[in-house]
Amino acid sequence: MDRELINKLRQILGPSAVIDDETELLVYECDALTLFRNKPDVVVLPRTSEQVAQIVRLANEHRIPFLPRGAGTGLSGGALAIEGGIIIELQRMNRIVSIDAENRMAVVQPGVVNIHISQAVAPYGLYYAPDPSSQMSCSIGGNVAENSGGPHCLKYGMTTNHILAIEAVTSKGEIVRFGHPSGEPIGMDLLGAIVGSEGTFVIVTEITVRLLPKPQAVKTLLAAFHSVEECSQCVSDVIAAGIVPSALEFVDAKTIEAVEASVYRAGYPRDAAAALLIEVDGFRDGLEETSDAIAEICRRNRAYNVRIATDDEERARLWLGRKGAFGAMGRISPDMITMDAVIPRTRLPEVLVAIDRISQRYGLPVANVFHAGDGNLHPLILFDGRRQDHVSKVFGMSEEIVKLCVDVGGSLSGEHGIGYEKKDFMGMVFTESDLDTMMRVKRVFNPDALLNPAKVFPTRRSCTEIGKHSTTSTAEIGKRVQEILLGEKP
Amino acid sequence: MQDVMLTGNEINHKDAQKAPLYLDCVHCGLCLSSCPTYRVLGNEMDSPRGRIYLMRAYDEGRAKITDSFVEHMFRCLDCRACETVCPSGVHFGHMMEEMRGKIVDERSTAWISRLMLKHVFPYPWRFQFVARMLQLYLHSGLQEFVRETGLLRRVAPRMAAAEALMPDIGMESGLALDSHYRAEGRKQGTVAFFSGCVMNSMLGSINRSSVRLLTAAGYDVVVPGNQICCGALANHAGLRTTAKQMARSNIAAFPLEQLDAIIINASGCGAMLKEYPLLVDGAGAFSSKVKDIAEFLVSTRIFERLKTPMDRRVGYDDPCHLVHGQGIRTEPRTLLKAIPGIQFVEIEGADQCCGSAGIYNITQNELSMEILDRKMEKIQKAHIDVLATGNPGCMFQFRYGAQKFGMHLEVVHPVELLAHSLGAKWTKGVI
Repeated sequence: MDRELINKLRQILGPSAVIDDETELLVYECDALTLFRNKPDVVVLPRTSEQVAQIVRLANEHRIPFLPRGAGTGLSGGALAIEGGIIIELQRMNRIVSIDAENRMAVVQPGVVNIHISQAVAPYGLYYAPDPSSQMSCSIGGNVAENSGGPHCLKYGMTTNHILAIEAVTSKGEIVRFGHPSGEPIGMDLLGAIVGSEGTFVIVTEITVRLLPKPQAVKTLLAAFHSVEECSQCVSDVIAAGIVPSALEFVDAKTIEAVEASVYRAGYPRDAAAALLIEVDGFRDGLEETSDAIAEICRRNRAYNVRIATDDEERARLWLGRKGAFGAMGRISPDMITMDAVIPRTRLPEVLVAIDRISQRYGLPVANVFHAGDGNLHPLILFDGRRQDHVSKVFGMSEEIVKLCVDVGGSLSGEHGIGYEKKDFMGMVFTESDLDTMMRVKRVFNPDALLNPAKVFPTRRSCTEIGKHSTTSTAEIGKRVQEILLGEKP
Repeated sequence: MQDVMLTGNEINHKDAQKAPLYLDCVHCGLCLSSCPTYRVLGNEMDSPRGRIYLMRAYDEGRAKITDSFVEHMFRCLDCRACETVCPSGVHFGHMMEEMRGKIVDERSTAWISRLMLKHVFPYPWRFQFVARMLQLYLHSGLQEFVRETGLLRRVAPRMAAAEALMPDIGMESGLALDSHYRAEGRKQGTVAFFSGCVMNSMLGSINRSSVRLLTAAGYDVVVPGNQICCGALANHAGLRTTAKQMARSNIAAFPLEQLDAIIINASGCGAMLKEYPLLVDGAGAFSSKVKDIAEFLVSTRIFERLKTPMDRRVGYDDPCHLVHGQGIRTEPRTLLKAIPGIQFVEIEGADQCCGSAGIYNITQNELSMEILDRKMEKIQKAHIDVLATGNPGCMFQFRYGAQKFGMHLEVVHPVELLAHSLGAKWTKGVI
């Protein structure tokens, strides 16, 4: 890498915020998806938005790719520096800037850990709703990039429903704002385009999040089944009964085995073929009846054990088990890849059977732990990354599983993003012209494709994605997006 | 389905001795925010996941033991908070100690000496502290550590001078070795007491309080004469051979068949004694008898003896090697809350490291002080008069922190408060 650039970065950030030692760079060659790796040329750790902007301008001058990174807990390779360049690690921007309890919002920097927001506002009886399983480590900036979900998104919506405004650095290095703390954007809802753009439109440097009052009461049930099919039928029956659980989670036997062997042991039934973790919340009045109704539906689907958490501690344990489930796979396998496909809820029974068949055929185990309520599957393929034969099988299996889900009317990703991992699957659900339109929107924000290149779009397209246009102001971006969506050629 | 499926760890578990421990890590990152150095520095190399990644890269021949590699391995506090949150149960502390062993093997111990020269000698108080520690080591079987590193040669001439300048770190002797104390009332059994080097020479009243509590609970207490330093500091520094020898000496020093338990009141030493099986063969019988004093007392009749009331706001800070190393969280709290009149206050982030970590506050002073500052801010918020914690290094660190923040805070070991409640006469200070 260009010494001159490194020196300039050191001038902007100070020596301890620029990493270019070969050994140190190794740890930045992947995020939580370890199947794909590539070392960045340099990692920088800015503390202010202005520093981020300066880094971006410098990268533009030197025509070097750059990308943001949070806690590196992403599962689709969003923070993978596939073409090298500069990783802008935002973990030192981890301050909660302000809390406005009366208006139920907080301003935070992107490196703030998801759960730290809820902890900080707990004294006001508030919390931040989206709760990805990695919430004790993942950063809110990463959540915005990926439009992260979590178990409770079934009732409360995804990240995008909880972000009021952001400050961001454009791909050209200007600091701009999107959205408005009132929740009503002025002009076009560009914020909606940015949340979930996987770090390919802008680099988010400050976030205003919506806070919710804690529900008055919560009931958490654990239902155990001897058959996967009865368990998945139960999911559909709960929803069909008109009940809106705040969460409806599925864990299979393999997941139970791993969780129960871990520090997050939750008392999941070890002899079950599958179990459901179901939560309802809201006003105290009537909640008892709702949870009784759910228990009844479970029993009707031959649940052999339905347990209701008796206190907050038991409830917390049940959830810690669920949220530690991905990591707990290390108990039974050296590597795993977490898939993220979505299917129509009613197809759950047959899809699970089909996934099992794929698993049998390839001879690699698949554990299933997922957000059943909204049909967001997380098949975890377990393998040994040191074995090339396993790695090839993983590629084959993940493609087949995604195909299977798409064929029954589903989609590629529920909440982890397309990133690098699933970009070549995009053709399964989008036509050429769909992809073209999306690419043109991306070019408006990221005309030179220097910001987080080779992500989201299929490889062939990414190679030729270099555009000619260069814009920065919010107003102009809005105008150009409008033009594209109206079908006018920009 | 399970019949067909066999990968990685399912195979490895059957052959656990050979499987590299880093394979347990699936790179999920749940450990990140538990790590004190990551919370301050925000870079992956100073997170548990990053350190494991580097260890694996070394093992696979992709990384060498460079200066930066060494730096990140030794910047770890070895607090093991990551183990408490790890869903995969990665044995991080053990991996770190082995890795440090490899570093020492490959680089010789000369670098430790260099480290001392760079970070210790230029600073008077650090030097005094180390000099004092070394003096203790000489009496506690760590001679080899000193010989290996060549430190004695450099330190000895200045030792006497340092003595005179040491107001904060005093010497207060505790129990005589090879002594025996009788149970009060009906005898429940016999325990041995592991006296520790720092505890018994610098914080002697804590050992005396401990014995007082054990005898009040109905136990005869023996203090075996041949015991030496537990070896934890050597082990954390990567001096595996020395640590192994020390383990063997200690195992031989205790008459196991006559004992119901071996009691230790310093959590760092306790974690080490319980993990001797990771270092030497045949240590299982010894280690299974080791109990932290709080862990032991909580199941005795000591509660009926806690009578003298105490009108103080008392907070408790979890020593890392007690809460993360030994999984002991509730026992000290249960005991403290049993003291009549006490106002027990839960401190936010009580299970996060204070930055002391053996000699870390000396070798990595800046980082240690930043970690301490964050800790002291939380302690200030708790408005307490007394802070109880069960490890000598942490106690020194907190006393320093209280001074630095201008706080009136008495830092004690939980056993001092408990012994006071027995009506003991020798506890000191304002309590």
